Formats: sequence, structure tokens, C-alpha cells
Amino acid sequence: MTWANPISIVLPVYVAIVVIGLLLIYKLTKDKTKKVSSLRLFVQIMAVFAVFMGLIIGPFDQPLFAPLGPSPRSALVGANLLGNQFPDGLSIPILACYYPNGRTITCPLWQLQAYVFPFWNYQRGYEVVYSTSGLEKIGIVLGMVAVSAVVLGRFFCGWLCPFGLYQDALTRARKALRIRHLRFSEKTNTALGQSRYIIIAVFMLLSVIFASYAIFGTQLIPGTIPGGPEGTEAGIVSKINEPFCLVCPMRPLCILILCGLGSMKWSYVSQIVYGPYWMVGFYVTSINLAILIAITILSLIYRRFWCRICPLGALTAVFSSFTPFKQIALTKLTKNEEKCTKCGVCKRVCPTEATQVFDKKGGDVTESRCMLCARCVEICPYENALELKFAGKTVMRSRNWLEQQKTGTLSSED
Amino acid sequence: MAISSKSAVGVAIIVSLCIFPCLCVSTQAQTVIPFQPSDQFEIPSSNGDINFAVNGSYSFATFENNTWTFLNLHLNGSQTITKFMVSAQNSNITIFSYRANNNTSFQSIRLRYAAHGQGEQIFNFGVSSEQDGLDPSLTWNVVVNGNVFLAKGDGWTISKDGTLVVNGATGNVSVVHYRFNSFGNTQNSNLPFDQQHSIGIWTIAVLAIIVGAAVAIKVRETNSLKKSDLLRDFRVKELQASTKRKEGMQK
Repeated sequence: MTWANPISIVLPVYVAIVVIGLLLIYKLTKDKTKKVSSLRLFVQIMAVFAVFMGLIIGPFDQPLFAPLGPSPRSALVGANLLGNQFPDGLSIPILACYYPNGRTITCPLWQLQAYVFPFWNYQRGYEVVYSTSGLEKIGIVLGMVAVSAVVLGRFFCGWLCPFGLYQDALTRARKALRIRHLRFSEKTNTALGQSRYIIIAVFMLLSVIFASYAIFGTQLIPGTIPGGPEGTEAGIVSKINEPFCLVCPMRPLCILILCGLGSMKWSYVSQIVYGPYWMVGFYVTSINLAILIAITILSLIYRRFWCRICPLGALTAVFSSFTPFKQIALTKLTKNEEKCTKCGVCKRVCPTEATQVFDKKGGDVTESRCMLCARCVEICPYENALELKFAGKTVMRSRNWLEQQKTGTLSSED
Repeated sequence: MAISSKSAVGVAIIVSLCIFPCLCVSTQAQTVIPFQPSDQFEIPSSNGDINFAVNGSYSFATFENNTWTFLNLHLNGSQTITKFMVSAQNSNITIFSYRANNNTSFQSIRLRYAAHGQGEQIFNFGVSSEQDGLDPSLTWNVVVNGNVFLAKGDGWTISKDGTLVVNGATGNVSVVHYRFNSFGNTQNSNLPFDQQHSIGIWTIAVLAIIVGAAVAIKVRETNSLKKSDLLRDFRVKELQASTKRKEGMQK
């Protein structure tokens, strides 16, 4: 007997909590230099609940843990809304890992890698045949990412990504310990930013190589022939359908948290591994556990370290920060040349150490590294020097909080 | 002797009516053999023993090659299994329940039993172990005492015909098998093009609308910027001219 919380109750309650929470934070936060940060933290936490809404909705008390956990495919937004054409869920450019229970949307990187396999059958691969071709599904994923990126740009990274929240939590922990962060040199930071595009290119290429038997009917490297009823012995490489997911730090993080919460069982999660040293696993691998540890340490030292090399951030940036998309991007960070005094505070507080906000004279200062977190807007002490604009309208602007503090006119109503 | 077609049809109907009830009777007369928890299904040569924790029935049971095969096995409170094969080596099994779910997206089979003695328990539910090329470790679970998942190859193995061998598990054991539905072409192949590709069409439409709106906003912004620049230039020039005029008048 299974039970579930009705969506008709959960969703309005969730929306009410979000609205009330936003209003309360907006009204009650007195420190002007922390108001946006507080709002952002709240939005990030609520986004995690939205991404894993299936855990709240259920169904619960499933007999046991299915491969997709106690919230089966039917609980996915994608499966319900999009049907069998696109059953893996909506593509939103955040690291909403495919593997944990209860997710409502899906990471586009997983989809791009998985849909490279176009002809699933026993001779060439799985027999799961979608009603849409692999290429069409890849087109849909890219279309959804493009729509998201044109509308909100890397706002997703700054405000909604669960892994961003994890890194921000690490930053807060470091601050609580009163340890100062380190900064990369501009050259290194630029190189890290450029490496994102190499990472995404390499892993997409690897996906094609690993799927070569499924795509071309011939294996480009040995061991990629999947096992099947013909008796073909599967090589370990044939277990790698989504190579980036084997190194992504988000996957083990989600799994570990869900195991800690009791919604997944570690003894189940850890049994489906292939090869020595957990090289490949359906849920976790030794590689992505090691990378999670490394990224955790690096994120403690450098703010938002993963975001500087994140291939999903790179994909979003392609559709929002480069011509022709940059010209039409709806969410922008703009700078008023006349108001800016070149104090450099914007550059210092930027979590990803984006430089255009300081270096560029004025106008649109959004760049591929900018996550639109608005920390610079919040901290800039010059009235209207920096503005976060959506569709030409100012959503957020810098305020002269220094003067207001001096004269004592700053109040919670401001 | 010639028979008219009407007569032939009449004779056929009468014959059918006579035969049909006989067929029905034979179906209804299928034997149902009840059993109780105290009934033992022994496997003497392999030191195994099988019994059921609840009352139930089956239509036919055979014992061959140290394996009990039950047809239409029904446990009270459970569903009926059409064909169920079970064996045990050096262990006693008490079967509690059998559940089968037919969800829209997946089907599941679940068998709960208690095993005593660290031997082997062997089951076959009449389903193939392979589906969709998925590794059986993804679609079969063997769980001991509710929370310990045994690894394939370590705690259990499965052959291609779906014979599951559980090794050395003692206590309460659950065997669970999931079968996922294919999101097949067959479901959509007869639909018109726009319905087959509606998600793709919607994505293109939304993208086109967003890009169109964004371009319109950009054009409007550029125009207003130009206007404000022109206005500023005009005002500057006017200011300069008025300053010159004032200077001229002063002179």
C-alpha cells in the first residue's frame, strides 16, 4: 500500500512559503549589504525543495527501492507533462542530478550524453526506444537550455543550482571560522573559465566514442559493445553511458545526502559497481567521490570553485553571453560609467572573480563568468552605479548605503 | 443428400452449443488443491524444505530435479502466480507473500520469505532476467532484513531464463524485480506528425517567441538610447548656443 501527499496541497503550500519567506526577508533584513544575499540563500534552499519535490509528494512506502527510488518516473514533471516523447524530465540548466530519488527536472548534461545513443536495441544497445529520435531529443534539450539562458542567463547558477548552494554553504562555514579565501590570478581564472568549454567538448566527444557501437554499428575503442542476448560479453566501457556523470561531484553529493536522510540505502547504491576500485557505478564511482572531496576542499579555499569550471555553466554561458545570444539576453548586469568611482569593491566581492564589472567602462557588463548573483549590485555603495535589468527594466540597483548609514536614514523600510 | 445452408448453420450452432458447455465445465473443473502452513514441500536429497506462512492453493504441483513447480499458486492475501518454481539447498524456506504491481511506467514483482540455514534458495517466476539491455543488478534486488541489499554475484545470481539463486541469506528476505515499460515507437507511430513531435514543435515555438520578444526589446532599447542621445546632443547644443548668445549680449 503506497501513499502520497496530494500535489494540490503541496504546491500551494510551497508557493505560500516562498512568497511569505521572500516578503519577510525583504522587510526584516536591516543590513543593506546582506539583503540580496539573504534573499538568494532563501531562493536557493527553496529551489532544492522544488528540484526534489518528488520526495515531498511521494509516493511513499513503495515496496522497496527501485532504481529510480521511491518516487518513480511517473512522479517526474517530464513524464507527466511531456509523455513518452520526452520522459526524463524538463531540462533546466542546473545540476539537478538524474540519479537521486524524487527529482522533478533533469540536468541537461545527462540528457545530452544519454541521447547520443540514438538506436537502442539488443543488437546495438538497449531496447528502450523513445518515440522521438536521439537527435530530436538533443535538439529539444538545447532548445530548452537556450530558452532558459536567453531569459535568465546564468541566474540559474547563482540562484537556483543546488551545487551552488553547497558551495555557498562551504563559504559560509569558512567565514564562520574566520578564514580568509584565496584568489586566483586573473590569468589562472581566465584559463579556468576557458577550460569549461574544453571539458564539455571532451565529454561530449567521449559520449560519442562510448556510444560508437550504438551509433555507427562499430566500436571506435574496444569494450564498447554492450552485452545482450547474443551472448556478447560487455566490456567495462559499455557501462559508461554518461561519462561526465562519472566525474560530476553533484551525483555522489545527492546520493550521500539522500542516504543520510534515509530515502536511499547505501547498501543498494554501492552494490551496482563495475570493475575494480568502483571505477564505474550506476550511482557512485570512486572517481566522482574523489572529485567531490577535491571540489569541497577547493570550494572552501576559493569561492564557487566548481562554477569556474562547470561545463553546464559553460553551456548556459554559450546561450547567454556570446553573440548573437548576448545581444538579446533578457537578464543583464549594467554599469553606469558616470556613477562608478572605480573603487573595485564589485571585483573583490564577486564569487567567481569576474572582472568586466570593474574593467569595462560602462553598459552591459555581463560576462560568461558572471552568475548574476547580484552580490556586486548589493555591495556597490554608489547610487545606480550597477543595475540588474530584466527585459530593459531595472530589477535591482546599487544604493548609497554608506551615506544612509552615516546619516542614520537607513531603516528596514528602505 | 443435399442440405441447405440454413440447415447446415443450424446444425453447427446446435453442435457448438453442445460442445461449448463441455469446454466450460472442463475449465471450471480445474482442480484447486488447498494447503496450510503446516504442509511441508520437502526436497530430501538437497536437505531443503519449503512451506507457506498462510493458507493457499494451487492447481498443479510437480517435483522434478529437486525443484517444486506450482501452477496457479495463490497465497491468501496475495496475487496468483501462474507458474512458480522453487527449490532450496541446505535451508528451509517459509514463503510469506507474493505481490505484483502493474504500474503505468513499470511492473514489479515482490516475494517475501524467511530463510533458515545458510544454504541456497532458488526461484523462478516465469519472467526473463533480461529486459531492455538493463543489467539485472538494476532490475533485481535481494534484500535481507529490510535494509541490506545483497550485491549481484556476491549474494545472488540470475540466469537468462530468470532463475534466481540466493546464496547464504538468512532471516527475512525480499526478492524484488522491476520491469520498465519501453517508451516505444509503437505507442506513437500511428499519430499524426504534429502529435508525434509535439514537444519539439513546442520547444521551437517557445524559443521563437522568446527570441522574437528579446529582439523587440533590444530594438526598443536601442531606439530609446538613440533618442536620449539625440535629445542630450540637442540640449547640449542649445545650451552652448544660449551661452554664446548671452556672451554676445553682454559684449
